[in-house]
Amino acid sequence: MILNNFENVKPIYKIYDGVFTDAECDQILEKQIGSSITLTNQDNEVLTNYIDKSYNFFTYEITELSEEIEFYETRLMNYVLDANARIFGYNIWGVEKPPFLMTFKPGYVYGKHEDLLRYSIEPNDRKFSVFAFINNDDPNIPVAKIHFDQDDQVVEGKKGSIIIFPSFLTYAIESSKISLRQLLHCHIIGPKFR
Amino acid sequence: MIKSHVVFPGAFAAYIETAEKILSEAEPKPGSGIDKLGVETKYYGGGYVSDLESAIYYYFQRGNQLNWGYDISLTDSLRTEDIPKGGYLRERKELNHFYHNYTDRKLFAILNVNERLDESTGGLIYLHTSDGYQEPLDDIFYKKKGSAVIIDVFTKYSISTVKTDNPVRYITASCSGNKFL
Repeated sequence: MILNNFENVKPIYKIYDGVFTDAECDQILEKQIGSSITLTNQDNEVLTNYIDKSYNFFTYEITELSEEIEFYETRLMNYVLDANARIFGYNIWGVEKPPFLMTFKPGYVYGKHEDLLRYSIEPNDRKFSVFAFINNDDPNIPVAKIHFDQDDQVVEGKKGSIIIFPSFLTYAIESSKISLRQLLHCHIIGPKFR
Repeated sequence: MIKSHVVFPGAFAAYIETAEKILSEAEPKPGSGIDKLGVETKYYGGGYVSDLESAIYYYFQRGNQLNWGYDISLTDSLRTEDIPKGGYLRERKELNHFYHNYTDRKLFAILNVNERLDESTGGLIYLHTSDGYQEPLDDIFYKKKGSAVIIDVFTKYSISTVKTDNPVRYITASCSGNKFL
């Protein structure tokens, strides 16, 4: 038997629905500590089509969360281990830093980029990027869409679901132009890619 | 990783004629063809042109030792790109990580078999780094025929529009090893 590798492609991401209940999503939002910090690299530029035409333009807010939600981190890690065992098979150690909340106000963007920091002097590489879709105003529409360069795939994230994908993939986050969207985000690290 | 790319100036200068002869005598693999812009791609490799693959692997090893430290095994594929006037290559990555097999492409080499290239001739290679910037190659790559540049498969690259009547020709090769862990 000859295995045709070009017809046997594994998925580039793993998505799990219903990881967090609505009540847990609300609880996560209540555990924000301190004030949010707005990160941006835009100089008042108006991007008409940031998904296709720009690299790494971003404006979003990050907020740390109380240590009281540490069990959410444990739950996320369990799903990471599951995805890694089923699909990816990387050497991983754990979360780089505790998950933090990313807030996209209407019009905020996160253009194409990769999370893998290849020039890092740390003795580790980011292996996985993890997003949990926490909040939107209308439960019937996705919290956000993630656009991957790989095969032009687009993933819609529903409230309470999480997505796990390798950190070397180029992706962009499409939030909303009219309402606030919030995602929990963390990186999983391991020994350098070999 | 310390640098985005490693150049070996003139590495294949003495070997380039032999390499071209080897390729001209080899039958391209299925899938070879010409795209809408007239860019002609011919696939070789996988043992079709073993001498050339071995010669390139030597530089994969050197580049890997200098900059990446990946687990690599062999030159797994080889192709030629002939880009006519008006032709170009859009951004691309050579990553083949998502196939169900036990090897991954890890490094990618481009051999310059042209006489001098510059902005006026076009056909220049640009790297698109993970932080979103377009980075030109070290200029020495274009000054010496037979130069080789090595990048990793996570790096996107593109080739600018060719402006001269003479097609721009590159020989490219991929190096693979056990799957990324």
